[in-house]
Amino acid sequence: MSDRRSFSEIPAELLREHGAEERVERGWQRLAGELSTAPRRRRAIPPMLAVAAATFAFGVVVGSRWLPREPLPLPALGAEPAEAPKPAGQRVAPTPPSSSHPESTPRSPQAHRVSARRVELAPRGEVELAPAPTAEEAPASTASAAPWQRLADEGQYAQALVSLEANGGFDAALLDATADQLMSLVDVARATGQRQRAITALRRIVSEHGADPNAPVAAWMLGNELAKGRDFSGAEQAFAMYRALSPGGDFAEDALARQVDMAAEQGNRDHARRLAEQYLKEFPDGPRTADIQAELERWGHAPGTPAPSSERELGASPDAGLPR
Amino acid sequence: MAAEPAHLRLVSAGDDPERREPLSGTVRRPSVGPYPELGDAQLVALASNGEAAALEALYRRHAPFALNLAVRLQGSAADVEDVVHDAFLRAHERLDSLREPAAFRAWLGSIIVRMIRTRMRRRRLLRALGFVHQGDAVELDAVASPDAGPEARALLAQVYALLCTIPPDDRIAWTLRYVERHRLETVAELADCSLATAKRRIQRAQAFLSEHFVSTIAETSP
Repeated sequence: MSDRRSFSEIPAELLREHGAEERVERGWQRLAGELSTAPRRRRAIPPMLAVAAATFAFGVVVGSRWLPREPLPLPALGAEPAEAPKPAGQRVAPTPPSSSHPESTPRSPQAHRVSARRVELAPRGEVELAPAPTAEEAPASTASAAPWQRLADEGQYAQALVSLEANGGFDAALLDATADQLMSLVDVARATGQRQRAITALRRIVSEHGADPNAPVAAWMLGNELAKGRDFSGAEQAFAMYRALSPGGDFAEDALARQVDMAAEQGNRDHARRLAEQYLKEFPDGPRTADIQAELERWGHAPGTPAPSSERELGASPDAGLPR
Repeated sequence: MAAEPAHLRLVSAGDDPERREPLSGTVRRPSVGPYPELGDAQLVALASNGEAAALEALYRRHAPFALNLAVRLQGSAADVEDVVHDAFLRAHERLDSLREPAAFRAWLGSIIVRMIRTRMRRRRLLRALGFVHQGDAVELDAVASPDAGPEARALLAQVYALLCTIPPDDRIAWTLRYVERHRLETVAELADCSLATAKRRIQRAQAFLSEHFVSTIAETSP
């Protein structure tokens, strides 16, 4: 007998830990050996590698258009899965009967093991029915979303921009966009190299949708974008806004440290000192504590020295410098 | 008693900031390897200047996180040591461009996510072109704890089997949220997308799992 049953998130204690000391030791020995023979590779990508990457990217695009996305049938479970939902823009082939094309619907060995097991991690009384998604939470509807947004959801940002420009323009879309739509516009602007438009959209989220869950991350992104454009004052305010919107957020400590950096970049040493002292008070064991302490001492002991702007790199974020 | 339909209920990870170690911030690191007293920012600066012991400290501090992340995203331990190795090599090559050295862990996590996503997409492409005939292989033993009971193993097996059928971006976002248990903001940062996009991906995956998650039970009357 089978049914559809709830389960909660995967508890951490069910997951295997892979950080055994011996394994880490082996990994380090391997890495150290490789680094000792080839220390610090050059960043320049050989032309052949670039060609290979471009070919691969093309292949990915072509491949993504052919991929069926229907679920693997799990006949061993005793019930045919219902038809898969079809996210925006997805090309879904009809699900073949599992018996007629067994080779086309490979099942993992694990799927077989499921059949005889009772799967219920939470006591039944604790299982809650999921509430119907609110309009704000619901995924963008394929039917109702504007074409540009569907393209943006699919990661086709250039095409999304073309669609936007053909239908009133990017700036017009900003005017009555929801916070989610504004974030999509930010994605489009960033992906197409339009920092100023991204900043405009981010400002709009922070100023007009301050209560929206997107607002803190928008403030964080705004700070980064402004810092990249060397608007240190604006960036400092944006990082302050992040902390105001999400005091316990994952990046609250980073945001305050970035405020110190931005104030130092502006040469506003008094303000930087106050922020630094606040950082040391709020995060006495923070990752930036030692260097902020050192900066503070340097500013205090050598009042004539310029703000340490040359030592700061701007636009930092946890994903800064990621290979694209 | 007829089995009643129920819906997948996924607990919000954003409500409890204590539930997951933050990727940056005031985390007390294990005192293993050289320089246990130094923070990531100092280690990155030292490693960037060619200090091998600092790189070793970063490796020993973050390799377990990287290995776990790679295995759980992928659903298998296949080549996971190569992935982590390459991620650290890549990180080492680009340490100079890390603009927030204290956020090394999150940065490394982002590199791992990108590499795993690339592997997933490559695998799907090869399958679409007929070069391989199987989808992503799930290794239950790599994911499940040896202490996990049969029910838990069954749950993990089914969840990963279903995850293998959805687009890599959705799969990664859902796994970061509900297996790795990161906050939504962190998922967005790790997946290098906006919060809205991260939410959409998670919701698409959640809707799919909710629709297709099936359990067989021997119903007993209360």
